[in-house]
Amino acid sequence: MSAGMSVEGVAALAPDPRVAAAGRKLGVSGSWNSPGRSDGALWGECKGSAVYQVRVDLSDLAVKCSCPSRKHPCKHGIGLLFLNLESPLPAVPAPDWVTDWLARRAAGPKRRKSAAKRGGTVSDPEAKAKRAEKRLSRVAGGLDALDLWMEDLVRDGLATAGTRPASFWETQAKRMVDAQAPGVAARLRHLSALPNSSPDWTGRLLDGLGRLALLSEAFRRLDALDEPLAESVRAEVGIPLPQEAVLDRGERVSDDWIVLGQRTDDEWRLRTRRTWLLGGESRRYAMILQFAASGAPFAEQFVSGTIVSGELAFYPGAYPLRAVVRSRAGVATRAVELPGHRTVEAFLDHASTITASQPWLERLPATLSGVVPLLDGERWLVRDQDDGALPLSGGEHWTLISISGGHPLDLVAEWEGGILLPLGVVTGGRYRMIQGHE
Amino acid sequence: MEALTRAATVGMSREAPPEGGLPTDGLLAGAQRNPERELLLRAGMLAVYEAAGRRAKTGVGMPATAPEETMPACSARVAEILRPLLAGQRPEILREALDRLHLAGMRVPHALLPAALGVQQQGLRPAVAPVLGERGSWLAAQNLDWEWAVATRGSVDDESTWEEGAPEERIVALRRVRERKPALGLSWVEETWKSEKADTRKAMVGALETGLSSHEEAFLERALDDRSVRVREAAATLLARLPESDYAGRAMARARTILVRYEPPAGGLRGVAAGFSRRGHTGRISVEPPEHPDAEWERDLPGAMPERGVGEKAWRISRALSVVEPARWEERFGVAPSDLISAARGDWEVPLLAGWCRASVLHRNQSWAAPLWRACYGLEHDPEGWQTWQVALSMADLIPQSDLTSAITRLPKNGEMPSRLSSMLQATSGPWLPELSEAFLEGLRRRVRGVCKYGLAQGEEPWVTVIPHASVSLATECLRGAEGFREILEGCSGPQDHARYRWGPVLKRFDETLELRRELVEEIPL
Repeated sequence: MSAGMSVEGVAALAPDPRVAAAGRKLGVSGSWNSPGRSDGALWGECKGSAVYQVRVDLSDLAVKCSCPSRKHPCKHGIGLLFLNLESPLPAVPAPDWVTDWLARRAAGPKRRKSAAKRGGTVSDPEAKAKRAEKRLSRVAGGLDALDLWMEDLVRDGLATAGTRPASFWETQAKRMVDAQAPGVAARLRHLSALPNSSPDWTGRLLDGLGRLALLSEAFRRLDALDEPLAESVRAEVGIPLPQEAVLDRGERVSDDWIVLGQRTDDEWRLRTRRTWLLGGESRRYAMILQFAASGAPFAEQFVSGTIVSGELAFYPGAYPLRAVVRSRAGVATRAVELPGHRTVEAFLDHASTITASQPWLERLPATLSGVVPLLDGERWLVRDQDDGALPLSGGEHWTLISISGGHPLDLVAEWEGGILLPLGVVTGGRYRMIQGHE
Repeated sequence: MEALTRAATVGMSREAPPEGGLPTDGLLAGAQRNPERELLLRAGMLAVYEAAGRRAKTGVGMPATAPEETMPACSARVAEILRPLLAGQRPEILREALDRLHLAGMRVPHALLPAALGVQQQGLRPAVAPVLGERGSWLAAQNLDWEWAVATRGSVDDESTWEEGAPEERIVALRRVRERKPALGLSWVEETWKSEKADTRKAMVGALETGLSSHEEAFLERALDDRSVRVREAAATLLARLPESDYAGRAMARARTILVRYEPPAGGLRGVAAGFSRRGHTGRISVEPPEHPDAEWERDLPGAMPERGVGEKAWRISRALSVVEPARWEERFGVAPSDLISAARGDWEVPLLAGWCRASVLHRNQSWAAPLWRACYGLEHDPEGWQTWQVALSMADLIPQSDLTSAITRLPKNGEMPSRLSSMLQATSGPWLPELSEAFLEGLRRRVRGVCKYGLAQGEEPWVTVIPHASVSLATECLRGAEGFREILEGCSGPQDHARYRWGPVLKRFDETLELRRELVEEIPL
């Protein structure tokens, strides 16, 4: 039993390839004093220039090591996971320095929660409501200005947008940030990349502006909307919901969650990671969004292709997708199959139901069972057994085609703007990550 | 949507959008809005409507499925090692890994095939092709850039490749045909000869090396009158290697006018009396430098100009000798190579050695290469000696490795290596024989300890320059136990910091490379 992990899976936990390679080298028994394992943890003493105590909590793959490395998890932690992968460690009673740590970790989340509670009692609810109201009116003012700006744009013609400098978009985006509507600012920055990017860019720009107009329209009529949709609109505009509130009040779902895949974006020295989960029982999709400064670890570690048992709390909305982890239990196991849509039509039906309930949701997880990736002339597609096909993202997908060999496979992808961006595949009971687009 | 986009693109101040007619227009009842706002909202609703109504593409055919694999895939660990190698790091180790996979009857895993097919160095392709498996050729057939992987598996016949292929592919096909049917290959060349470009003609002549025999002589003689000097050079090289050819006869006749006479060493008492004079112990060759070259000379020895610093006469001596099979001199003077080589001492020693070195390489003559390299090894460290040594290096793969082995074992106590030995080792292709490999490792240990004990050598360190080449050339059998060179340096008491600085990174990389190779050997059992 190897915690459901593969070599690639362990390597993916490392903060960078160097740590993965160094850890790989440490994954031999000669480097370790009395390594061992229990149901929930691995430990061992790694012999380097000094002896370091290394321990891994298998429930969430948290690593603790006594070495002074700034990288986290360090090469010793990765090495211990590799060692266990090579040949499972003996099950022996854990030494004190392991049990103490596990006990402290178990107590940890409670401590955090009680701190949050304390924070809650201190703040004055009346002042809080006042602050919230003030924020809403600032956002409303910002959206009014945005509407005028967009109207000017279509009055003068989108063609002129192609000749505008980057600052034309950036100034407007900054105004939205100032108006505390960062979600709108992000959409504007996204649109700023469109001019002259393709032959039909004016059409695509109009699409995006139209959706923004719908968003500002909806925001103005928040009171008339169902509460879940109103929550979605607030979230899309960028009014944040504190994670503590989600943990306390969000809808909770316990399940065995299949880790479908993840994508990490490196931008502005900030790394953003989306991890897509699918509940084995509930059949609910979830997306865990995490941020970390470059070089720093993400708080929650997931290995694609494994199953994690635990409880998630969902952010409210018309189609709740984003979630936070409330608790994890037990040890990750290997997922051997992906429950997915058997035809492209079935997936598209599912996607349009979601679009109908939350029209601003632009990225969805897609799991397709038994599809064949192929290159048709210049088009990269996946095709189901039923004469339905969907386009893959721009760029080449030779690895995908090579793995499939013309045979059907199960695909996990992000569905965005009518295009699939592959994250992973399952063939022959084995999950493989598909890294980026080649 | 198009009408909305058109109005928005040119500007609503110029063109009004259509009124109604969109499936979503009914949703926008009620409140009064300005026309721009109305257009934006209509566009937004239509965008959502279209996204929700997205349909599957239909009528796409299923691709053909790949045939079953007949070979097992290599282990996940090997795949992990191969990935960075395929991306262009350390081509020598990649070649070793691929060759070993081939010998073990294994293939690269499917996920690595695009990287394997896209391998940058074309020279590695023959090593890649046999480990691609069925999936590899199936995949290669779908991408024009990977055609080479389809062709080398024999699915395209050589004749069509010759007629339609890219220049390099045509030459590969020609060589293959020459292996089986040399006459057919020659007839292909003769048929298209006149219409080919100079570069192609040169490559075609080069390909005739495969299966070369006297049947090619007439054609090569004609090629000696080609417009392009590079074609003429290639033809002369091959003609020189046909022992019965008219060309070889002309070459020998020409060289005999230069090496006119050999006098054996003076024997008897006089020799003893001559005492320490070297001339007393060795024979003597009389050299007549050639006069101005005639037309035949120009035709038979095209191209190649004297290097800087080499005199015209010296150059012509070495050029005339370079095409003559060295064994002919043994026949002519009835003496062993080593005697002739030591008899070369004198004014023309450098051009004689250089000419014979080139001739040994051309004729792959090992019995001359061995004494020649020893003679060149002892030449003065002056510009002439240096230039001749550069020529001698081209014989590296003809020299018995036992010579190099004993040269290493005879190094002094501090392990210092002469730079000429280092350069010869660098020129010696891997894999080295086990005895040379062991001697190298032992010598390196001695040198590292020597650095600890006696400090660094002055100037460049010849060991350091050869270590990278050695790390990929050492025999596989000797990898086990070849560990911990950096530790010797770290462990020795008080080496100076600059010794650590100079040697540390080199030894670290050496240790890492050997470790990587050891791992490949273990993971790919034969």
